[in-house]
Amino acid sequence: MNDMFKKQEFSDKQKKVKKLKTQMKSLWVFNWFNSCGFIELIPLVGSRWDMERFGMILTSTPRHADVLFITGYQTIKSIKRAKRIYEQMPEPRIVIALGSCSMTGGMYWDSYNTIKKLDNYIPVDLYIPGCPPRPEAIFEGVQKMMEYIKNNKKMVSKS
Amino acid sequence: MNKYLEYQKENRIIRKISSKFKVEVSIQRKRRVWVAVSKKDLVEISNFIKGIGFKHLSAISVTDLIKEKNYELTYHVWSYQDNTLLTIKTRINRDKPTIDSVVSIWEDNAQIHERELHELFGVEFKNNPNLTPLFLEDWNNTPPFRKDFNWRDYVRDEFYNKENKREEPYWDAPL
Amino acid sequence: MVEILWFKILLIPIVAIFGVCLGLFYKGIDRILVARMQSRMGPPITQPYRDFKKLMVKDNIIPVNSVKWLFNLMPIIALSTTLIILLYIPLGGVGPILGGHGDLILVLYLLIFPALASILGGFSSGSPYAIIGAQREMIVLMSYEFPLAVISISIAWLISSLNPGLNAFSFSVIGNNVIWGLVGPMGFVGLILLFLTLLFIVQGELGRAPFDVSEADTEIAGGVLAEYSGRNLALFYLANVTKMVVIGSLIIALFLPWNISNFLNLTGVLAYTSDLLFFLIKLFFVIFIGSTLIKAAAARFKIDQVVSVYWIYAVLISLFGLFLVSFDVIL
Repeated sequence: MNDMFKKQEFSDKQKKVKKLKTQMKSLWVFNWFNSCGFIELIPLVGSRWDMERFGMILTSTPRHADVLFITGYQTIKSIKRAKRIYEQMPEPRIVIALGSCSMTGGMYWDSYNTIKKLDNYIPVDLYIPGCPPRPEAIFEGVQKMMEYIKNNKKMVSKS
Repeated sequence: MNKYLEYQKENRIIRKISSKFKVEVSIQRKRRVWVAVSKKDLVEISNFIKGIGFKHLSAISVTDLIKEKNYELTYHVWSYQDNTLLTIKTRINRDKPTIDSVVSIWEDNAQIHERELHELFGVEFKNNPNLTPLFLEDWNNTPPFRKDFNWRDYVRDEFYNKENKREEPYWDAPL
Repeated sequence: MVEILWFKILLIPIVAIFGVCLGLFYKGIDRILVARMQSRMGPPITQPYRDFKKLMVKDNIIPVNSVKWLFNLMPIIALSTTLIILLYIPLGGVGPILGGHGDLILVLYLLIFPALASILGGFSSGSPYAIIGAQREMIVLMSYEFPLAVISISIAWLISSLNPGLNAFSFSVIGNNVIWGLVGPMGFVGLILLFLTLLFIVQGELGRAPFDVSEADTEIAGGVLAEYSGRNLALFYLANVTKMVVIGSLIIALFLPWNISNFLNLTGVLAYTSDLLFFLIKLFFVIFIGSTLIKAAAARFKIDQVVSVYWIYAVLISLFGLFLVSFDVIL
């Protein structure tokens, strides 16, 4: 199963980091979700935890998006579609995996149809734990990523 | 006498069915009737039952009886006029499970249930227009709901890595 | 001084940059006002500048199925035609830059081009979502032209029937003979009806709620702009934002053309700056009442409801307004 997909390889990492710094002030988000991982994110668009004050907007196509949120478990049927969506996004792009189902398999760790670790299929930049993660956890994760990029630290995925 | 007065509606239904076909019947409680038929009479009996008034097919399910080497197919049919549930049971062979489809009688309802059972148990329904799998893509193993499919061994071999120290507890986890 | 040709050519880039920056500023104000009306904190006012900067940095992906030369040409046409209209409309209290060469009829023709550019861009994208969005945008474009024509004809007829011999379509004439002073009470009601119809048309031209069927986010995955990314999308974004300034200036030039320096009797540089400030305040109020309030409060129409609103209700109201105005002049 691990050699079914090939990881993407990026060139010119310095240029990517410089572009990411411009991008950090306005992130446009596209989410690909399968089940309950996203339920705690719908209040993120609402008025109590407001996503738009950081510049993040929900977009409708992956062509406009910077950040791909992958939430919830992914089956073998849906990881192929997620891979196609990831390939459609323009560079520079960031993938954030939400929930514990994308880290270790989560609740479905012994199921024959779900994938256990998302990093084997799509290069992931940030994992946010939780089942499902709270909105404050997502804000903290995004803020940590912004700090990493601003201080030019090494990012999680090797690219 | 009391029991006869109590189960009038159910007894009427039983009389209608067993006067024409050779079946085994039993009443579980009020408004619940069980019927056991043989495999080759299924479509004929279903046609007759739809004529009586049982128009709503609720579900089709399969029980895997591994010791008797049978699948037991169960059809749950409701009637709006009599407010009763009729449960029809048949037995088919486990190694080569084939049966005629009831899509011609209860149309779209039966089609989706038979599609699911074909994917999960391997039951072959003849005359079903579309038997492509719903959830499993690229699956070339035994159908996963059978009792002799060891899903723990399959997951362990396919997804986990013994050399990786992080995944070592999963390799030896008890069932 | 504005008659000398080389001076006009020098002013053109200044007007273009002014229009674009003003549009981005008003879009920022619009976003934060919509957010406050929905009881959340909005983004900072400089957010559209950051959006534009980010969009210029991203990759430009051209799909394989598309018609490449149309796909790349359409954003440039959309932005440039929107900026050309700015040269023919009085901005900031002064007359239009190319005032002697074009009038209201030319502006009405030029207003078709940005919408046409996005339609062609949608058709050349090679994706079924974009084609559906482009078809819807075509229908909306055909629908709002009729009330717009009725409004401009009624204003010109009013001016030319009372002062015959003038070119009633030119903006300097409309600015000098303010229409509110030319009618009695019945014509006043007619002019109010025409003003209301113009508010219908603003939302349709800008592609915002309740008439945003062509760029429906959740239904057709982005509509016309489904396959655009990077620099092309940045140019479409700027064209959309500048159109807000264009339509606001058009409403001010037709219906609210007063200058404050006439009231306060100022001259020279002070007159120009006070006129500019007054123009900016008027533009803010027109955009707020005509666009932001309706966007925050309305849901999206279906396409057959859009057509019936424009062809039946808007046309009837504007024709009734025209009838009242003409009745008032004849008596």
